[in-house]
Amino acid sequence: MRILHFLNQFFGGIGTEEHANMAPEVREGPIGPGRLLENALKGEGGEVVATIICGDNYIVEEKDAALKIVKEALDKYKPDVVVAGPAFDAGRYGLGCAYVCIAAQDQGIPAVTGMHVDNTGIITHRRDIVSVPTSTEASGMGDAVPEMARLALKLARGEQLGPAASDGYIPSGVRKEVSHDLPGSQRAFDMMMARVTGQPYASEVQIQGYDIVTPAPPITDMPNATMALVTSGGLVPKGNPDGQVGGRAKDFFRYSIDGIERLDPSDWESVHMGFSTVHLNTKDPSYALPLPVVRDLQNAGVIKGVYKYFLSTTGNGTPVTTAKRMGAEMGKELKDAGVDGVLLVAT
Amino acid sequence: VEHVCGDPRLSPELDRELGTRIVEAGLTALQTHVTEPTRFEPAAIEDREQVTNAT
Repeated sequence: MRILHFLNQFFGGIGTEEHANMAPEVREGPIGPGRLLENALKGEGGEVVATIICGDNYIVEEKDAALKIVKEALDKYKPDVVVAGPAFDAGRYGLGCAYVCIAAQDQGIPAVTGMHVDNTGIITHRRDIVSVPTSTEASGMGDAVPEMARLALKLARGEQLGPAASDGYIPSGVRKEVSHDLPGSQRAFDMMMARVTGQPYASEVQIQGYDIVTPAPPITDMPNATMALVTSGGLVPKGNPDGQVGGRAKDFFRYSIDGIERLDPSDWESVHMGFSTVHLNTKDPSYALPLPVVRDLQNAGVIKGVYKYFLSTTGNGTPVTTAKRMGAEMGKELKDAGVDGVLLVAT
Repeated sequence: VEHVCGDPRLSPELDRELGTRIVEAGLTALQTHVTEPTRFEPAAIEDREQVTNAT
């Protein structure tokens, strides 16, 4: 079984964020997690014939160019299956894995990836990919790769996957007709009895938990509106006095911008660990908090005022439930302060 | 994303102009009635030659 493996620059052993813009490189044989993958499939004759390594920024920002190289590798190595990742909760990496899986499938090659259920790759492409659910962190590698190998083997053999719950992949939302021994009424009755008697049961209808957010009504009088600035860019005063974290933040902090025209990099820094902060920390924090521009618009009368604090968190791997809680707390503070609208810089 | 509200490869003037247009797109969004996820694009910067040279 010939396997083509896709990795990002980090797991491919190239480096961290400073290499996130690298174009795909194809190297023969397994690299990093690919060795674990090959070990898991050794008894089945599995061989990682080549590994594609691509920067997280490049696969997202130069998708067409990246996939051109991926398709050339597919043509050259003619794999029986493509394995991408696992990407855990890394959003750009997850998207890249999804893109590569879809590209392979478009050429008739089965593909499997692995990532956390809240990964952007799942949120945007769950219907198009087969993905093993993973933990948020790479410490879950040992659990994820054997599961990906198991599905890769099944797909490479041309076997049909069963339901997500029984075959161990993230539900795609695609419904297929299947035959049951018992009619629906009996199964529903059995489920009800299990529920009322405290026995385990599983619904046959998987409901996705993502919210549909009702848009706020538009601001009708912008020249009289007070705007607030919020950033997920991990922007904090130099020295990080509140101890904000570089990822998986649980808190946001407020910092005064009262009477300030712009943030100076000698006084402010980003502690975000999900992207290169070189531009923010050496040139201009305005890339994550456009205070000078907002002040210009305030002085020009486009808006009336700017909330005297900006709110800052680190948008990097925060679980949805935590993000919702922080958003609600931010919203309450801003509403209580009479803020009319928010400009949120989402890094 | 490393530079959401601008582009450090541009000249300072164009960088500021791009930042302004991004914020203006945000203000436009806030004044627009929407019923579903809607994408708002900043107005393009006309001076493409400078943008190209800046890279």
